[in-house]
Amino acid sequence: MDEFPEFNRDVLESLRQPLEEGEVTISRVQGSLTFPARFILVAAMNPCPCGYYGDPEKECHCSPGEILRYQKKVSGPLLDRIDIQVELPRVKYDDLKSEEKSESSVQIRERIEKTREIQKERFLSLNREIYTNSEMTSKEAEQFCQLEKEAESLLKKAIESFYLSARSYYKILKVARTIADLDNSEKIKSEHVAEALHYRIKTEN
Amino acid sequence: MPAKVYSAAVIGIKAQPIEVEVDLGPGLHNFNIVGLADKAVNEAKDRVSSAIKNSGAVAPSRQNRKITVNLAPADLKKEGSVYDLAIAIGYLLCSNQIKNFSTKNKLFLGELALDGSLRPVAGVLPSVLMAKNKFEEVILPDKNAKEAAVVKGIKIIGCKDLKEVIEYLEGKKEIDPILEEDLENFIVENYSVDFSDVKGQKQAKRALEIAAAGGHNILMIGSPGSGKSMLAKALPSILPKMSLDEALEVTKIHSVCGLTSEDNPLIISRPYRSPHHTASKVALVGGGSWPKPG
Repeated sequence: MDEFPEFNRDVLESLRQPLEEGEVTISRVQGSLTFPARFILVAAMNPCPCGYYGDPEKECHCSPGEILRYQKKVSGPLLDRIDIQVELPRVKYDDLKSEEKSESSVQIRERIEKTREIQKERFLSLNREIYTNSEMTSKEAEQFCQLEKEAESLLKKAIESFYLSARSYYKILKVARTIADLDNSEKIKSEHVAEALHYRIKTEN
Repeated sequence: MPAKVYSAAVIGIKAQPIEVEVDLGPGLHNFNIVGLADKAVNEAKDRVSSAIKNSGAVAPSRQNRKITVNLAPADLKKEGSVYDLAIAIGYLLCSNQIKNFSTKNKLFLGELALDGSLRPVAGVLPSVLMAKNKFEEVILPDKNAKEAAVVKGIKIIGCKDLKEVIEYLEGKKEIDPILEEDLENFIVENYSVDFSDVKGQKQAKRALEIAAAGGHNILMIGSPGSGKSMLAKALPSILPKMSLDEALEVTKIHSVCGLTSEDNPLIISRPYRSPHHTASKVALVGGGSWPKPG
C-alpha cells in the first residue's frame, strides 16, 4: 500500500483484524462470513507531507504540527502490528551510477527458499498448517524461538528501557527467529535480536 | 415422482450441495421456482425453456402441466445462473424425455444460453473441491473444465451444450473426462521489477528479504524517489513459489470473484495487489450485502 497515510482512516483500521488474525470477518444482515486473509503487507510512506523530513540535503518545509498530524494518521495500534519498519535514505549519485552489480532476485530467492524449508521442518510437529514464522502464536513462539543467553539479556534490557508491550516482544522474537534462520543458526543470537530491535524504531520511540 | 438432481451453491469461498427437485402436476401451465431464488435463478425458467426447445426436446411451455422446481435446502438464499443445467436435466427426467440414469453420483453446473449452449460460471473450483468426496462426476461447461481439472480424484465432463449433456447421459455419446492437470503446467512468473533494478538501498533490501522469508509485514519510510515503490513491486520476485494448497486457496477466491478464465484457470504466481489510496474499505477487505471477498 503506497502512500500509506493517505488511505482513509477506516480503511487503515479495517486492516487490524487481517494483520492480527490472518482472516477477515464480514458481518451483514444476510449473515457473517470469514474469508482467509494471509498476506504480507508492504506499506510505503513519506516521513512528512512534503517528503523531505530528515533528508540530509533537501530542506523540509513542514511545520512540526503538520509532521505530527501526518505521522499520527498511521495510528499507534496499526503501526504496532507492522513487524518491520525501515527507513530509506536518499540514494547517493555514486550508488546510482555505480557499475557494481546488485544481487538479482533469483539469488535472493534462493536464500529465502532455504529459509522457508527450515520453517516448514519446524512446523511439521504442529496440528495446524502454517508456513512462516510470522504465523506463530505466542505460545509457539516461546516453543520455537530459543534464545542464547546474551540474546535473552539484550531483549530483556530492550523490554525494560522501551517499555515494550507483550505484542512487541513476540513480534521482535519472531523477526529475530527469521533473521537467525537466514543466518542458518539454530539458536537466536544477540546480533539477530539486535537487528530485529532495529526494525522497530518508529514504534518504540 | 419428482426428479432429484444435484448442483452446488458457493457461500463465501466454500461450496455446498444443492438438491434440485423438479415435479410435474396437473393444472394450467405454470412454472415456479422455489427455495429463496434470486432474480437470476428465477429467470432460469426462460433460459431453460428455450434451451430445451432448441436441443430437440419438448419445452415446459409446450406442455400443459404445472411445473415446480425446488432448490433445497429451502432456507438458503440461491443466487446466480449455475442451476440452469440441473433444472433442465431435472425437467427432462420428470417429463420422461430422457432415459433414467443415476442422479445420485453426479453434480451439474452451468448456465444455459437460449440456444442450448453451456456458459461458464464463477465458483467452479470450490464446487468441484466440495464434490470430490460426495460425487463421482461433475458435468459442467467445457470452458470451466480446465479450472476443474486441477482437482484430482473426480471425473470432470466438460460439455458444450445441453444436447451433448443429454447424449452423454443416455450413453449415446462418449465424452472423455478432462485429464487431470499438474500444477507445473501452469507456472507463470512474470515480474516487472527485479531487485537488481534498484540501485543501493542495501538496508531496505535486507529488510524486505527478512519480510519475505518469514512472512512479516513491513513499512518503508523514505523521501520521494528513494525507491520505495520500486522495491515493493520487486518483492513478489523473491517470494518462493506457492505450494499446491496455497495455489488452490488463492484460486478458490479468484474463482468466486469470477476472475479465473479458460486460459488462466489456476493462479500460480503469488497475487500482488497495489490498491490506490482512494480505495474504499469494502473494496479492500470485502463486503457487499451478500458478502464477497475484497
